[in-house]
Amino acid sequence: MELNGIWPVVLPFFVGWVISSNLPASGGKETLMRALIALPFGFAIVSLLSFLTLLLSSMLTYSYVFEGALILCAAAFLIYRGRWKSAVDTSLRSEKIAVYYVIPLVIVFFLILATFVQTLKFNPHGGWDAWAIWNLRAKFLFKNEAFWKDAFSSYIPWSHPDYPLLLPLTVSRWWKYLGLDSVSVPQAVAFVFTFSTLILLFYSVSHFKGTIQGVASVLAISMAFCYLKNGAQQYADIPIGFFFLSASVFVVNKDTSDDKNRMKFLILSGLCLGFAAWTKNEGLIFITAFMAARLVIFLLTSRLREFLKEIPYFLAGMAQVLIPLIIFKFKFALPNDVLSSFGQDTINKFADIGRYYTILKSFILLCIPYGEINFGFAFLTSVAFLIVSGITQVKKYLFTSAFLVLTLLFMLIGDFFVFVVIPYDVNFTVATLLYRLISQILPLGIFAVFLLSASMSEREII
Amino acid sequence: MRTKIAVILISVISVIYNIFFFVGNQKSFNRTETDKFIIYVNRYEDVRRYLPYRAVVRYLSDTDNVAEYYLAQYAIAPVILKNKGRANIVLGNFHGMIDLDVLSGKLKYADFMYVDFHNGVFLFSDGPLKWN
Repeated sequence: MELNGIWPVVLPFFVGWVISSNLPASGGKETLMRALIALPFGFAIVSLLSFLTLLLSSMLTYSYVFEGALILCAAAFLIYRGRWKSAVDTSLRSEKIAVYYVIPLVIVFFLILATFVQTLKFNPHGGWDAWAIWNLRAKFLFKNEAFWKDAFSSYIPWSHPDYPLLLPLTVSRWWKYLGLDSVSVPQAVAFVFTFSTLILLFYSVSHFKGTIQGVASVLAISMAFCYLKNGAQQYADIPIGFFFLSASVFVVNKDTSDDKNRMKFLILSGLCLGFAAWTKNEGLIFITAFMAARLVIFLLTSRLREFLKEIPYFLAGMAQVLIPLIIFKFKFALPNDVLSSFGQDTINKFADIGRYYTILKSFILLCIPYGEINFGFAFLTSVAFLIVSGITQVKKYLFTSAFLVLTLLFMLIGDFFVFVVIPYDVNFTVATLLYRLISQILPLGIFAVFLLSASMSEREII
Repeated sequence: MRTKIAVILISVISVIYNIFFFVGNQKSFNRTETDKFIIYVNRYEDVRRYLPYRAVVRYLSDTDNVAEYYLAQYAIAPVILKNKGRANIVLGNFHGMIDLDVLSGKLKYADFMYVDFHNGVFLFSDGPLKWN
């Protein structure tokens, strides 16, 4: 029984480690952090494998064979990598951190953990979307895998049968191993994604800008209470946010690295973009925003040829996920409710100034540090830090930060127009959905702001 | 130096806020609401035993509360619960008294069978319902 509970984590860990081990590390602490963020990548890959198994056999159980083969491949890759290339990049400097930075970080970590556990205790089945969409679909896949397509029945359109399957398949696969649909499984998945995002944010800001900035970035995100609460309520906005951040971290690695093989980061970034789309439909908007921002930034710096060179690498990563996603969307999923509502009414919505006012007002209100649902403290803290530390003068950081800021801007514009055309009451939708969409891009937003700031060493030189 | 002071300030503010969040979170949750949710979902536990593994069942209730319908679907998945049209099996979720004669007229089944779970939940069928 214990083994059945552990195995669903062991395989994703090894498979995910193949991806996360590509992030450069300056020493033991960063190597540990890379290990801690391996699971979400593994969950994504194994969920694709489960989908493939369902396509071929309609039996999740048969994925055991594939999983055995996959873990052998992962082990072989890691052994090969360990032999030919050290996992630790000794060219990077490992930074010591003063104890008065560590203490508040540890206190905040335990407070976040306590709040997370408290929320799980009061909402064991998760928030509305968790049980009405993600865990419901996982139940269909777990309890009646022979008829798994029933999960996308037109009788239950409110469960959004067009949403992708990363979370339902991760949960149902774990249940399959356990032999029961325990509420602890989606809770554990939510825990992994929420805390992996915090670790990834800390790792990436520390790596590029220094540990003190890393501490500040995690403290800043900890002040977005609704972000952490969304995680504990098992909403998919947190896993998708993890993939938005990881796709960006890989691109920043490419932009700032002198490594001869740095184009590999684009393949990994493309893979993470695909994972985002495999988590939630907003992933497709993000891919568009990300690539559009990349195009614009290269056009502005007159390096269009470089952008064209990057495309095959992005596609090589993305295609591995987008192909199964396309199969799912065209063969099994019901039409998307927003897209299928397009018509004459959409033009009227575009012309309705009141809708723009309602949405814009809600965007602004979320930036004001008041009430339970706001991102004001996280936003103001990050901006205040940027003002205090100053903007980086290092060209490569300016370039890559500008790219991330542009991506966020395009993403916000995309989300804005989704609200403009949405076929439901705009006031209700904005009130219940907007803060969750902001949660998706919050870690990336904080990362972008801290990347734009001048590092301690840079300030010392000045 | 300025950066270090900024980080220390952020640390202090962040610790204070997270304490407030934790306390506020504790206060905002209502234990009764959590229990109600779990009790509601558990009401359907025995229903699953009477249902075939794969079926489309009609949902019928004396309230318009969609959350109850969605939760009932969550509880009895992978059986599909539709809230309109005809089906051979009907899942009833009632809060008040029900008049079986009126209901049987509504369902228009030739051979009317039902199981009362004694918690407001009923299963109606046009054929025998078997305990699995």
